[in-house]
Amino acid sequence: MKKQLFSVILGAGLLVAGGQVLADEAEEVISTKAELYDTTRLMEEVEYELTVDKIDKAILQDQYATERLKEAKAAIEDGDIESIDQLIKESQANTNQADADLTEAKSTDDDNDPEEVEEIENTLADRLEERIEELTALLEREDLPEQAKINISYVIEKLDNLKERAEQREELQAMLASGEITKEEYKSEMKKLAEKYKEEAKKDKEEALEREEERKEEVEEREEERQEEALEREEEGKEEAAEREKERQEKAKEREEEHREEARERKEEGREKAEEREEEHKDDEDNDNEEADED
Amino acid sequence: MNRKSVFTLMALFSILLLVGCKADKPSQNVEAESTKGSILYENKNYDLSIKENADWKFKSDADTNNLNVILSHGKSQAIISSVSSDRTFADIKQELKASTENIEIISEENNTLSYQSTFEDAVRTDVYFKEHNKSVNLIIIFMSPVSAYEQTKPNIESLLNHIK
Repeated sequence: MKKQLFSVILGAGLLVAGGQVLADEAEEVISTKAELYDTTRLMEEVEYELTVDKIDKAILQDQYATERLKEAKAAIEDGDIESIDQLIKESQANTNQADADLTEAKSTDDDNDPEEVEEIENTLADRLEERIEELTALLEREDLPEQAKINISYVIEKLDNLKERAEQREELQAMLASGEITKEEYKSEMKKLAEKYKEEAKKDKEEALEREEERKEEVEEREEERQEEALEREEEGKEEAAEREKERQEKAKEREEEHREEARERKEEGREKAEEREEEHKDDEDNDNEEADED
Repeated sequence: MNRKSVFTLMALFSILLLVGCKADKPSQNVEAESTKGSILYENKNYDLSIKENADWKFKSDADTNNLNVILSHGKSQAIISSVSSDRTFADIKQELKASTENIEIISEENNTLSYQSTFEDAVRTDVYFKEHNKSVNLIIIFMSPVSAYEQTKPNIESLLNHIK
């Protein structure tokens, strides 16, 4: 079975396979915030599920690993620090799965040309090395939080360990080639390795999913807190405004009382003065009358 | 029994017959409705209803920001997703293409996009754009091995016609 080899070099490559050709859009990456991001991730899962050939499955997982790393780098540029850890862990889980699929292909696939399988294995190993280099370069970035760097270092370590698997496979192949083991024994041992790697890949994926769930919950909690705080601030603002209004009204009322009091006092004074003047006028009249009587 | 009584009896009997026939009609309508098919999937938030058809089965309803329902039929699967109504299909196609590598385009029309992977046992993807309501439109994504595509085509048509 002739395999369609894929581009070795990240960020370049053109595949010609008849019909309309789509340039490898390795430089284009969909943002994790894009509306259809979740849809495209589901499409990946379906494509993987519908793919039967183990080598093809390994290639797909390797592509997804590269995609996750590109998305992580884009997330750093966007300042989306929360997504970085998740994406890098998922990239590691994809790499793990690719390796498990490759091992399983070697343990079961009699249809594949061994030389082609070895070529694919070498290509996957090269791409793994490139991803490790890219991750290592990320550690130099100053705009990356310390926790993110710790997580990246952990992932680099785990990816490095995958190289040991390649050595284990090579060892078995060497034993087969030298006649130390039979083909059946080779397949049996390779199958055991495949099962072990599949378990590890499954565990990685579950951890990545758990982390994603936790991250979503944290985001939701923070959003709820933010909304509660906003609501509290709004309530406080309203209360303060109500109090200020109350004070303003009370002061207005006091001023009004004062004005009324002053008006009353002025009126009272006016009345008293008027009474005094009347008294004086009356006294003057009485005096005039007395004088007139005397005359 | 005089003629008048006989006539009255016959009239009554005729009335009974008519009422009896009429009474059958509503139950026939109810039966007709029940044979139209039950609902395979319904989502009131998105005002979406898919009737049972061609043995499509519900697989999952993903917990995501947009609607993503997955149905399955033999070797094929369909993802029904929501997109904002202010987005063009050209936009959507661009986003889908940016998310994938190593594909060859089979066809690209106003409301459809078809492509397949470059593996020997390729997986074919057919994307259909469907206007839905004021808030969202739908994209229906069919995926199947190329080897199973011809068998899948009638089921694709059927599902597209049963999405409301």
